[in-house]
Amino acid sequence: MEAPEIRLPQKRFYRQRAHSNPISDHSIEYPINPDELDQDIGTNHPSWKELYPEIGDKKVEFGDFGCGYGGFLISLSETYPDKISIGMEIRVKVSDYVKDRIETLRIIHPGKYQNVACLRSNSMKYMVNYFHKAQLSKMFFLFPDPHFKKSKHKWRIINPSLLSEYAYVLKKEGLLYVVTDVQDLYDWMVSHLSAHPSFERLKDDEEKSDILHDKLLNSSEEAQKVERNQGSKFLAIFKRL
Amino acid sequence: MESYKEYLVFSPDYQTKIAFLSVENVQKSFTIDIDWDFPVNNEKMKMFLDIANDEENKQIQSKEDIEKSINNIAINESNNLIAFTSNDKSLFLCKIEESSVKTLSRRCFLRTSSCIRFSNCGKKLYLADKTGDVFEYMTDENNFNTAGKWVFGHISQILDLKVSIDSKYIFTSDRDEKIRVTNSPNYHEIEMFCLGHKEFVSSLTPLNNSTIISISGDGTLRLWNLLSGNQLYFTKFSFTPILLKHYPQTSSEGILCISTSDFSIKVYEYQLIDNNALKLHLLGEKQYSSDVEMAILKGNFYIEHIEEVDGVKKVFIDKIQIENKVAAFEALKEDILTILNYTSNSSVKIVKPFDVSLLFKNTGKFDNLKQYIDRKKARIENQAMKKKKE
Repeated sequence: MEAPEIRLPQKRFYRQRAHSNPISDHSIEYPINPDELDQDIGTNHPSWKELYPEIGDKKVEFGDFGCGYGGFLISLSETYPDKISIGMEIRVKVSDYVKDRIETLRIIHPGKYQNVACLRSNSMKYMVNYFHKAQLSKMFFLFPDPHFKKSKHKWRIINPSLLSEYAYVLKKEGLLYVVTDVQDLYDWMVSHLSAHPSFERLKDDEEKSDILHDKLLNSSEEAQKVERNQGSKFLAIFKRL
Repeated sequence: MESYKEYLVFSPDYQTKIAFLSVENVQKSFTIDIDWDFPVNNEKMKMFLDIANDEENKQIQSKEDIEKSINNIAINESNNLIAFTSNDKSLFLCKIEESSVKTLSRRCFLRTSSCIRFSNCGKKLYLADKTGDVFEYMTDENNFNTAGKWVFGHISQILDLKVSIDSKYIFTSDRDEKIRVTNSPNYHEIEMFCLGHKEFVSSLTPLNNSTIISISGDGTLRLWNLLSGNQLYFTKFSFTPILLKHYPQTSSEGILCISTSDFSIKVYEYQLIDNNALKLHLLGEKQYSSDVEMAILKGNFYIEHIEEVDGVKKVFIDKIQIENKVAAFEALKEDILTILNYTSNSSVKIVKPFDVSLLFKNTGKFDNLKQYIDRKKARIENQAMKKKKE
């Protein structure tokens, strides 16, 4: 049998350090506003139609912010074949890996993986450039950069300023998921989300019965790394009130 | 009580004095000395959560060793309270009384302020800082010395903050091209973002309860529906507008005064048509030689500017007279400092709230994207070549 022509991208060509300064001006081309993405062809940035050729009238509903190498994003595509999911990643090489990975998956499995795409962007700065008010029904923040230094806590992707923006792009009843292997960061995220008047934590049994519960803990590359190191993983799900 | 609405309030040197210039009767003008010895209330500001955080908890102390100067000044609508921030990160609140000004409090804040603004009722003040956070300070009789409280934040430098006419919203604009409409007093709720500018949004103002206008480093003025975020109108100028002052004459007409990056002042008459379009008509303009400051008093616009006369810097104030759709710039008096009996060792100056040249995005420095793509292309070509050889 002939070896397959098309191979999935190899991670070794896309490695990049895990930290990025979310405040500085990276050379990111972002849309001026969400309307721009609804056009057929984007101006300085690919439109939704260019990212998802088969999107039709559907809207992006799920967002994985800081999607890393895309493991969870790919599993979202399989769990929710009817929903459109976007992964955002600030690191150039890592986001390029996910793009190449999805492109290859679409070729290997015709008709599948049409509902996921990856963008290189800084979601902390430009979230509302991509999504209309109340557009999203699920937001994922999986293994975010803990920014251990206290002076850099402002850089954490879950912080009081940004929670209001997340509440703005989330629908009422929409869900916000956080997963981390860092206890300190977990406590920080849970306390900030709990204190924010727009969010309420799901009950323990509701969290456990979420269809994504196990995938959240296991499908991303970061989750598997923690698994290999036998570290603990913490999860919390909050509802937009 | 005498109405201080007759006075133009400004600082001729942003360091030692605040001047109260009576436009009606210049003889009644006076200056007050800034009380740099007034004790600072070092009580920590209330943050969103009292989680241990070095930066939030760091001992705030006014620095003794730096040369003190003022960054921002604000006056409330009834002109009986004046607030200013200084570079030692303290917020002064003063009460204007009969020909005297009494310092009420001096409260600390965390990071360099970029804008301060009183609420419409004058009972609170908003302080926006260069890292994007907004704090609320009470200014009423019972709470004028209470520590500030964090209310919301941007992830970018805030350049302007205004309160809606009906007090239901706070409008903030930032360096990342954004205009944010925040609910008041439910500050955690964002009503809308108005997005369309392509550079920093340096100034904005509400025209009525459903529209705002904004100006930006992209050289445009835009009209927005503040509840839908829809851009209703825009015009591109041949200059870079920086600051905007607005005086409504009716609910749909009024005067706009715009300062530009090259120190000129443009005066426009505007007409809001059906709440969804704007008609602008240039009434007059004047080129100045350096920074200018705009003020509105009793419906009139005044321009403070500094000119060098025989090697000495002097402060002048022009009144903008509008007659038959023409704006004329008339000097109030030859030399304002003589009227004010101004004597000081510090030189006269006008401090701008931000340095415009630093606000344009210099992304070239960080352009690692092209490099990466080029390298990747080379790698793929290389692989293809190898395969061919095999």
